Amino acid sequence: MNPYLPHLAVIQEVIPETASQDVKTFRVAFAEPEVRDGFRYEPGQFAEVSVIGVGEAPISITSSPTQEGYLEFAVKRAGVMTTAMHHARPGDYLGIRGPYGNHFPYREMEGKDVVFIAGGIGLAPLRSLITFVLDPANRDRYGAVSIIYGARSPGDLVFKWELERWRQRDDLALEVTVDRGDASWQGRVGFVPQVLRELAPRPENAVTVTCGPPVMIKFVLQDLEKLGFTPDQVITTLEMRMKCGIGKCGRCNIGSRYVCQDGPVFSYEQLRQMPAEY
Amino acid sequence: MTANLRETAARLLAEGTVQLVLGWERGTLPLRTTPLFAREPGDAERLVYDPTCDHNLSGYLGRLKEERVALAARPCEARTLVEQVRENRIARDRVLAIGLPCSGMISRRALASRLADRVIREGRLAGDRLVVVGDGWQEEFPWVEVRDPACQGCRLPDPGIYWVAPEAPAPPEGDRFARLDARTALSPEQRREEFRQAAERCIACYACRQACPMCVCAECFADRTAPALLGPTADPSEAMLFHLVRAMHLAGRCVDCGACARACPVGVDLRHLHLALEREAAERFDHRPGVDPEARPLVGSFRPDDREEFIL
Amino acid sequence: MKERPAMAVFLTRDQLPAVLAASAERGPTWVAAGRGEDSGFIPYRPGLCLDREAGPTRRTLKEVFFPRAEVLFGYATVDGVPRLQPAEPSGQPMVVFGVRPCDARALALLDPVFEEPPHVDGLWAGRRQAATLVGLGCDRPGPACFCPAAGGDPLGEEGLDVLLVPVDGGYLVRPLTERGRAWTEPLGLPPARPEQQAAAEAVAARARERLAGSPPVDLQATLARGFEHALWDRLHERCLGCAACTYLCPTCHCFDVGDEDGRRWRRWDSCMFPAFTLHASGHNPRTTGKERMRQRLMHKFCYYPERRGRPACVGCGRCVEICPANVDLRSVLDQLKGVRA
Repeated sequence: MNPYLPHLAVIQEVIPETASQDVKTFRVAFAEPEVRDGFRYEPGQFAEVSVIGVGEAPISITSSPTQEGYLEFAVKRAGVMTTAMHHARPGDYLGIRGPYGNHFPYREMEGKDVVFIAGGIGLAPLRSLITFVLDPANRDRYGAVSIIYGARSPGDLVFKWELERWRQRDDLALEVTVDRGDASWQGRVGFVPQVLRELAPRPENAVTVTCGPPVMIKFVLQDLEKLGFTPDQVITTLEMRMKCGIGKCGRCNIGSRYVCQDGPVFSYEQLRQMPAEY
Repeated sequence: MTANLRETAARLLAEGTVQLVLGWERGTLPLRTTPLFAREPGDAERLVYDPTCDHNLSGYLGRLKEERVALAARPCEARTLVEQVRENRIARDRVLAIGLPCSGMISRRALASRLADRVIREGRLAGDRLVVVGDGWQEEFPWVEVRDPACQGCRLPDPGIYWVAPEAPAPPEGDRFARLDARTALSPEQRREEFRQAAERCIACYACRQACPMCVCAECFADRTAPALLGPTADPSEAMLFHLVRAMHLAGRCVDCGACARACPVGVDLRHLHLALEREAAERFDHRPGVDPEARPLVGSFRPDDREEFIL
Repeated sequence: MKERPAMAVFLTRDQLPAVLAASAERGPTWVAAGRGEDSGFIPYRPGLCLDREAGPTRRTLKEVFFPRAEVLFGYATVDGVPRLQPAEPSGQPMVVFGVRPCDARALALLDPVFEEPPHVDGLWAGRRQAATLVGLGCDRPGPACFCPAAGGDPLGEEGLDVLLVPVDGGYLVRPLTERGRAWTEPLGLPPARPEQQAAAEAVAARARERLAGSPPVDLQATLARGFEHALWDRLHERCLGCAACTYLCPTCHCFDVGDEDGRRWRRWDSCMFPAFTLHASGHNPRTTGKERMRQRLMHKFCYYPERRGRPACVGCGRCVEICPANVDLRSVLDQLKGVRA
């Protein structure tokens, strides 16, 4: 058993997301049919993605298990591996192993209103759950669904094509905001927490799922508390430096929890019990 | 000597002249000491000074928060302090160097070798004599017999940075480079093989770098991850690269305190690399580290009469 | 004291070289050997220095099962398609001789990390399954030893297949497992006589007496409450931030992963290095020596015990012995006992 050996996958499509192209979405399919058919994952899980010969990085799966035959990863160019990945083109191979980690508690969320709050690339892990919840097979199990999504500028918004599709739906309230607009921007201008305060979702029978830059999370958590959300009604997903993804390399722990195994999804209730070392 | 040091330290702390005195106290194993960060006058009683005080304390100066500190300063600390002041890493008036006379340090490696690696249960210095006790044996001999080989050629020109000068003046300067001359008998191939073997032992724990008071880069090249400059293998070439680059970075700055070799947990001692570069700097550019806080940096100063026959 | 089964046999000191030579003929044999800084687990060759007066070797047993760097898989591109070649342990039976009880216990502490389902690390597990561990009890613990504090014993049996207890003239040989019996029986050694058994008990008693100053330490609950304690601000003050304590720790298992020369490698890494937790974004959750030393100690004495029920330390004393600044884990633990939330 060699749990470090990835499966090969072929890039089908590369979608530039941001104006500066520092975020791209990669749609990939496993090279071997039996791997493609056998790969089962849940919304919120991640995979270890390799550019063979360069390295490996943990990346959340942004597609949903309801979308069969392929996986999607939205990747921000930051280190050596993600830079190499950004150079990849359709037809190129990646290595993928996983899925790893826990997942969003989508069963416990059934029957409830769901508020998604995301900033920047933080929409990527939430998108898996959003797509899952909006799938015709699942949509009836959830109450009202709303999404508050913000980025620094219009050019920094990711999944614009997806946002457009979401906007067409009448079973979903979507609010998109940017910190700073530009000449062409017709939408909201303002920080995510401001929009959250203005919309003031009701905490009764609701759950929020949030992911974004630390400073956004900090204020979102404060505002949710003021709105009456209890820590167990707030779900987030973390990122930490990881290597193995399977609890052996020892670097992604927060207190006694390994983000790769016990996370990356945590409730704010859980986070409050953990050392603030992330 | 210890008594004077304690008295000075207690006074400086009581008066509030300094907020911290950096010295040594008895360690937890025989013949070991450990750095002491004395903040209360009462702490000064724990200070000790003898040939087992082998940590270069100056390395800690850069991380201290205190406004003003006193430093128990053997010549090694003083020379390091000169370099730190010269490189504007430490404000000179922030550190009061309490000069201590030094006739070398006990080398734990030399001691282990003399005792054929028998386990030492107890050890003490009685004047110039070292008494070591093991399971069912005891030996006593002059401690200089296990003096660090590098201390033997160390004769320090007064660095002129003391706040209190050492009680005993430094002995006349010896031949610092005699250790290198002994190596000229080795062929380049032999030296390379010796270096390769050292690199093979190296476990890349970087104790040498961390113990070095002049390894001060905010991010060491060896720690770079984007891109990683050292590879993920355990090939000796990785360690060779690390130690060579470290030596080059320390050229003209290394004061030959030996902290690197003493820190190594697996017995790697590459001080000759540093010493060879020190000799180059001395012979070619008349550059001597650790003496003059006003001196220009070796790599970063130019004189019209610099020898430059190596520039093609 | 456990009742000793009557099957203990006796090996005289002068028989030892022949026993090792015979073992090396049957398969790879590692021996705890060498002096001082040079000592470690070395592939057997005739004439190796086996004298260990006290304490463990400088290098640890974990290196045999988890080398400083090893290949996870090889890769090559054939006709534009990457081909991956996973590394496999040979599986050839091997013997490790002269294992101190602390080092054997360390493997038992690492087993659940590497072998916990569903992600069984075959490289580790394969070597473990192939190894017979022949232990050498500590008749004279070293000056830095503190195994009882970590729940160990100078003649502890956990993780070992055979335990040799050094007594006058030789070793009392106690097979502890099926594999241990398979190693011992072909030697054809005579049963230990009652006085040899008694001598072994006396050796154990003397060794335990020597370690009486290190009673068991249980810091889990204390540390769990004390993450923000002011003690952490001073505890790391002398620490130089090198990885000597972690690389020479028999229970530290952190590693990095990287690609080079057509292979993906894993190599030891240390929580004491700043880059250990550095995100590609530049964010770092543990920016100073305080956080890093706290992580090392919390992992061993709080987090690991929380997950697995006992501390990730075996009291071998290597970190005590090698710390360049003489930061002594034993005194650190004493100070941590005083932590109150």
